[in-house]
Amino acid sequence: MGRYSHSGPIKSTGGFEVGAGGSESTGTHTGIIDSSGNITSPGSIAGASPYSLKADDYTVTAAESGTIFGMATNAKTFTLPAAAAGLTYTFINTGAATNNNILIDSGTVEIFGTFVLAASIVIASAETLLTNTQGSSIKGDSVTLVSDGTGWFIIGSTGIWAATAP
Amino acid sequence: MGRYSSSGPIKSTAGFEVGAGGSEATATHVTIIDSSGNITVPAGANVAGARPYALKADDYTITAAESGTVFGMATDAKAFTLPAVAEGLFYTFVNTGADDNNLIDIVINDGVIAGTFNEAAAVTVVSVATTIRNTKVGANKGDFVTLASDGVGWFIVASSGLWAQQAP
Repeated sequence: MGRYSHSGPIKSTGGFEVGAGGSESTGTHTGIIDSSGNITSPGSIAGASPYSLKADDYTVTAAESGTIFGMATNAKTFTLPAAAAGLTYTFINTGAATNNNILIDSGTVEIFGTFVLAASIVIASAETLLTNTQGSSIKGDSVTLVSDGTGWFIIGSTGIWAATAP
Repeated sequence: MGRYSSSGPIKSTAGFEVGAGGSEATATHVTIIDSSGNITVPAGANVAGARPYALKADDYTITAAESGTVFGMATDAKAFTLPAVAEGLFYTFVNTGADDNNLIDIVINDGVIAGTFNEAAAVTVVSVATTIRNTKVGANKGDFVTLASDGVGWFIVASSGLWAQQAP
């Protein structure tokens, strides 16, 4: 069968599937997008992550999960959304070395994990504020966080960060 | 044209495309989901969303279909067993238990684990491990490791905390 084209959005309350041929009863169906919008591929998923450069304080939303945020301006704060399982964000200091003090504020939700520095570690244990310290910052310093629905965990970092509970 | 709606799943044996308008002959088509289920978005588009998260409380054998998942473990002396190697599989494991409470093993069935754990003032080079262990004493809540496969073995692509390797 040839291509079926439609110029408007295609909506399915049951999701979208691909699969080998056959009738509805005999074909092999693999759900790719379920009715809740979860995407699961039996193969690979490729594509750019959303990237968003900010120049001022910014409150991140749950809908922006997966986004890489850049900040090249000094003394600005990213505020995290409420914890929800699987939410993940990466924050990059895109400013010049020793120029930026960047803060990541989780409110009252605790952050756990470890920053590995050149000859030491910084352990975040129930902290709520991460700071890429201006005096030692390097362009490209980064941190990636993921939530388990209760708190936040550091699952990647570069550069010198402080972890505090203000 | 308006929205086309269906109450059941919509299936295609050839995949799904998006593209600029025009007739069938003149329209530009970009494959988003191919017939094998591979998802690829075109340049200028992107993929967003939460990663799958699964908290486990007992030994758990991971499947290839769970690639991309973040697994949490807050229980002592448990093991995650990885599936057979396959290109592109990747998983993140987080110790979500209290400090010094959890010994977590990550065990493979084929290939070896290679890579480096950077610690406070030391580096643990992993070359032929078949198990890596977040040691109970010295473990901190939030210790993690991300592994990716090239289809032959597994590579450590990110980590924090104290991990030990165990060769076969």
